[in-house]
Amino acid sequence: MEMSTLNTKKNDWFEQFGGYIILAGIIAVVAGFGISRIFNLWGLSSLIPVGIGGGVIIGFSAVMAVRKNWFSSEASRRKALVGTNVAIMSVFAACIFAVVGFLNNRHYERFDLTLTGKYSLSPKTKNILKNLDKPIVVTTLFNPGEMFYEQILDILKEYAYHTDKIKVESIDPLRNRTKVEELAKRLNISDLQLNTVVFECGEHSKHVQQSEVIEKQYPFKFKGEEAFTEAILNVTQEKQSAIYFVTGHGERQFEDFDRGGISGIANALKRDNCRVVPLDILTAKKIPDDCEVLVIAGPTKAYLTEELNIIRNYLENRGKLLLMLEPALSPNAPTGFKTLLPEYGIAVRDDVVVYNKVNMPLFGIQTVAEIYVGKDEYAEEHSITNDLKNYNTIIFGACPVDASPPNDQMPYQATVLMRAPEGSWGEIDVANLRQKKPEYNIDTDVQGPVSLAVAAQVKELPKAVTQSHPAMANDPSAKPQGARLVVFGDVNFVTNEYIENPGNADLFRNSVNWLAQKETQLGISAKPPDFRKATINPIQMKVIFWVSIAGIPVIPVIIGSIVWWKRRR
Amino acid sequence: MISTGTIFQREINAYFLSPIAYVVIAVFTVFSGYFFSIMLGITQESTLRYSLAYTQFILSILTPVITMRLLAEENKTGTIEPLMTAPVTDFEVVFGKFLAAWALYNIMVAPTAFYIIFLAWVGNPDYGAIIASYIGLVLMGGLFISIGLMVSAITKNQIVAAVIGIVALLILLVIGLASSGSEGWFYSALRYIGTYDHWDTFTKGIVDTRDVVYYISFTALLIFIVVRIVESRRWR
Repeated sequence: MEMSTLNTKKNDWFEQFGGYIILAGIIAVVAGFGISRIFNLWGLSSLIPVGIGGGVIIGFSAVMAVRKNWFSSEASRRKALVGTNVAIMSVFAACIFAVVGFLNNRHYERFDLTLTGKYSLSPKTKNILKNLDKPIVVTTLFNPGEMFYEQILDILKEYAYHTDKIKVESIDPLRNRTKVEELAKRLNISDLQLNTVVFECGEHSKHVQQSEVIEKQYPFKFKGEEAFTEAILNVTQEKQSAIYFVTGHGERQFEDFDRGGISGIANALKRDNCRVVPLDILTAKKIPDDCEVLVIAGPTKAYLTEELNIIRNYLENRGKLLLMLEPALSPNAPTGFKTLLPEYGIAVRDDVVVYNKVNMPLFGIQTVAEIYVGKDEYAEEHSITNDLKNYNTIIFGACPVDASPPNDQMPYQATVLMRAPEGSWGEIDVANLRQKKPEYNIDTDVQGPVSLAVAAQVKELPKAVTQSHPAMANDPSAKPQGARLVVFGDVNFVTNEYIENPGNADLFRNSVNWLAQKETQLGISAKPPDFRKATINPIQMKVIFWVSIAGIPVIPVIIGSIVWWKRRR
Repeated sequence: MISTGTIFQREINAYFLSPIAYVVIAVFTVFSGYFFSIMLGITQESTLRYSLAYTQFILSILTPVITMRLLAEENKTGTIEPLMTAPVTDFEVVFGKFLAAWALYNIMVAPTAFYIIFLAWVGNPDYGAIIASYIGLVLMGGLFISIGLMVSAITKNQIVAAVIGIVALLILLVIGLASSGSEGWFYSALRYIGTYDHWDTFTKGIVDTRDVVYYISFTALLIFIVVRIVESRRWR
């Protein structure tokens, strides 16, 4: 009798394999669902396993419930009910978890605890992202083993965090050729370069190469933010801003890569999606219509009256001028702007600003001193300098540029952008500066504080507009769109030699962006990356290795042994 | 909550009066020390970030070993029955055990603080990033412990509990990685459920409320389910 029962059990395939069949059903349902998500559609390949698997689970579970008399007795019925209750409660809690996750993904805050704000984008980039009005798709085509791959993904995640207009997708080009081909087809190009980040916005696209993200010289600094923000500007802005640099009067050249040239700043403008163009005013006879900002970088020879008139006409037609004077080179050579600028509320002097607190033994000329401008008291409120007050801007040998006192008859209002620190003065004895140490002469020299740069624009027009600006009379649009000027008493601060000083490049770029009325591009640019190099000699490495894998683990082993020994006794 | 304290004390004593705590801590420090020194040598960067990426993997294997005993042993030996009839709530039992295992987890990862001394010796580490990493490490520990606790609640066999716990944690680790780079709600959900992305953010030095809420809410969900499972035994 017992033997036959055993045989019956052995032969009962349902008893033997029922559990496995239900498990197979669960696997089929999960596989079917997975297939549907991988191909992103519900086809036969996904519906069949889900259907069969579901049927098997329900059918076999029902048969098993009947055979095992799950609901026959009070005890088993209660057991089943309790199990169902746990399942329902768990599903309910999981739903709450899902809702919390859903809301959590939409409303969140991020706190960058790194000491230098390593993963915080610069205010300028954030400003640009905040004002994005078109969606951008960013695709990385990097082999995950490539240098700076992690940093590229990290910083792109930050871009996506700051705006929902940016979607980031990563494709491993070696493993996912189909997606690469799809992207090439979408961009309408035959081949895509590996290790590239592609920015797409509508029909525009920009490819940022790995070499553009990494500084070419050792120690290979990462400069992804600069490159990516530039790419975003390139694909979102319909046209490039034309920045004209005047030539012909000894101005600094943007093709000049030497220490005295301004090629660095021209490259920075190109990164801001600007077109940098040289301009000979006498040949052109006019300032081109597409000129968004006219830059005069340190003239050392006088402008002809005809040229000044062309510039005046340009300004009267809502032109934008950035003028950087250079007194130290040729202090007594008049450039002609001394007569033009007062019409816009700006006063320029010929003397040289002296700030003798800083010793410069190697420089030799004690009058040309460093002037730090990164403090509140050295600048008035202005959108060009508001974000730069924590940064030192170093100016060498400037002439005083001041704002004229407010005047009801003057439609332009000038604002001082920066002043030399306390203790500085305007030295009138420029001719002898190279021969002897300057001394402040209370009778002849300009008393500090000395202003070094000024920005001017149209203010609220008085009822009676002055005769000097008849074009503005009764012009309601004059106020927001009138001429804008920024005048610096120095040009050295933008040369390749000094452009690396923290505030210098941003002061210039902010000035250009303010003149071009690109308010969203004002702010501080991307900062240098914070790479914390460890310098490890072989002995240190050995100590670290052995202490880590043997020294530290031995502590719990010793304590454990003591405990074991004591308990054993 | 006094009962929770009692349960917590009982479990902590059980850990530290047996070899398990010392063995787990020693194994963890050997592996994490190995990865720390190797990654420091390779990257030459005074950061914990790269070695912590491996730490998550080691913790996925060792945490279930901490939790495997918690409820599985009670189920097997039958001590769960008197515990259920004692004047403690199911939540107090579960939460006390959870806190004890979490405390052991934190004691286990505490020796990694030595690595900060090494980093300061050879470079200038970013302490802000290190603080964020440890916040993530503690929160992740809560989630790992609650997963292990749940697995321990549904089985009577400690080895089975450990194996299922390891598999579950590795799946959680992998699904986040596997779904990265794919679009759509399904992959977004997988990325959210997976632990990798959440943990990675902390190691960079960023504390994101999405990650904090993820760890806390997921841990709370699992503790809730464990309490329901334990409670269901009372009615069977």
